[in-house]
Amino acid sequence: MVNALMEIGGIVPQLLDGLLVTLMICVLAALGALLLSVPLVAARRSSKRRYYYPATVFITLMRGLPIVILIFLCYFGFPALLGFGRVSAFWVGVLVLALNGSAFISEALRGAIARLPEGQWEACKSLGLTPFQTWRLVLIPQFIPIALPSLAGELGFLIKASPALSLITIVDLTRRAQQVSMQTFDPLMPLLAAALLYFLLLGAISMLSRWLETRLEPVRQRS
Amino acid sequence: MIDVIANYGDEIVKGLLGTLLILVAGCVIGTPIGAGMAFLLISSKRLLRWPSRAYVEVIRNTPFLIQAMLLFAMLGVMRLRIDPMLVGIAAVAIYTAAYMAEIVRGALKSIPDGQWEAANALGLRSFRVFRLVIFPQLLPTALPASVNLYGTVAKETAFLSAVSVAELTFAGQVVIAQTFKVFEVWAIVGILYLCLILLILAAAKRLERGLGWSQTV
Repeated sequence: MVNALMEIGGIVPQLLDGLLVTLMICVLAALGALLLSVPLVAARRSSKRRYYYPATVFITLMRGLPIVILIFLCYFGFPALLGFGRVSAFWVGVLVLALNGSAFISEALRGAIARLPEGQWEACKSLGLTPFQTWRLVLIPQFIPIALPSLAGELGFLIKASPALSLITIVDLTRRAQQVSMQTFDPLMPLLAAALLYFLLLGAISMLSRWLETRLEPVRQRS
Repeated sequence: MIDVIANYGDEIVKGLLGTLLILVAGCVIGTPIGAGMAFLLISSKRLLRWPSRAYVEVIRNTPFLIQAMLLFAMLGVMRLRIDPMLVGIAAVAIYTAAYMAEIVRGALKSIPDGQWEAANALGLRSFRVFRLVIFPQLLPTALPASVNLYGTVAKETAFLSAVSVAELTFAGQVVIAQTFKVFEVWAIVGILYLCLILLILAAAKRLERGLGWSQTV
């Protein structure tokens, strides 16, 4: 047992560059997803069909397709169809994770917005606030505490989906573990070390999410 | 696209059946294990609570691909030769059980302690308390959530192609190796996944509405 732990500890440094790639991809994808989710929420809340329908179709596609298939479609499928030749696996990976994440984040944000009491809109209107002022001064300050825990959860989902990128030649944590495995003829220990790193990363995020939830509870009850 | 379906349709259908088999068998095995584990999670005995909590946290905080690869590697180290399909089913069951345990634990937690006591006071024995009082109240929250979970699991099964389990994504790779029709094959495979998963998610939504009666109380 102690030997195995020592061995895993010895492998971890070899996996750090893979971990770095995973982190980089997930941070870029999370930022992209957050940016993309704002127009998506706006479109989903819009009463105009030409905004509402495309956004709904997009979100349905993202909810109904496995991330692996999305990655294969965007890395192999569309470039072959459009005759692009080779595309950057890294950026396709980031883009797919961002698109996928944006659909889920926009749904989470929409849920959080739906929990804001209806009367506040009217109250702000009657006070003469513009829609922009309403959001900035009244709604966003209430809305962030409601949305933050679920946003942290979405970041966790993103990291759990990211090994899909190892299937399109990106040397992330998963693929790095496989490489070390092949170099050292040890099928088990590098994978265990990678699992440990994922566990620590995801565990930290879910602890953060839970902490945010308890910490922000009073705000939520007041609203 | 038509010629891919005409020539390799049965290959793809076989893959789809593989995915369905893994999904159904994995969920059928994983669900009762997870539901049982929920009772360990809320147990007052640490000896029961800690190992089950550790299992749930480890599975929920690692990617499915890593779990599947680890399972295959462990069997390899033990020199056990098992049909990859069975290993895939086991991986899905292990994954489902952990998430299921959290779903059922959450549902159990939402039932006030007083109900156990009240039912006991009425002279019901603990299994009948569960069957007649607690279980019917678990369904409205736990059932839609578990069907949603099955939808997520269906998406995760695509990862099993990376450890050469003969499911839909793997079938797609096999057909591409023979036809080089990259876009067509992934589009067909994608549409099949889309139908399967949206069907499951629609069922979950339906259950959410249909069983909502006791949530409004």
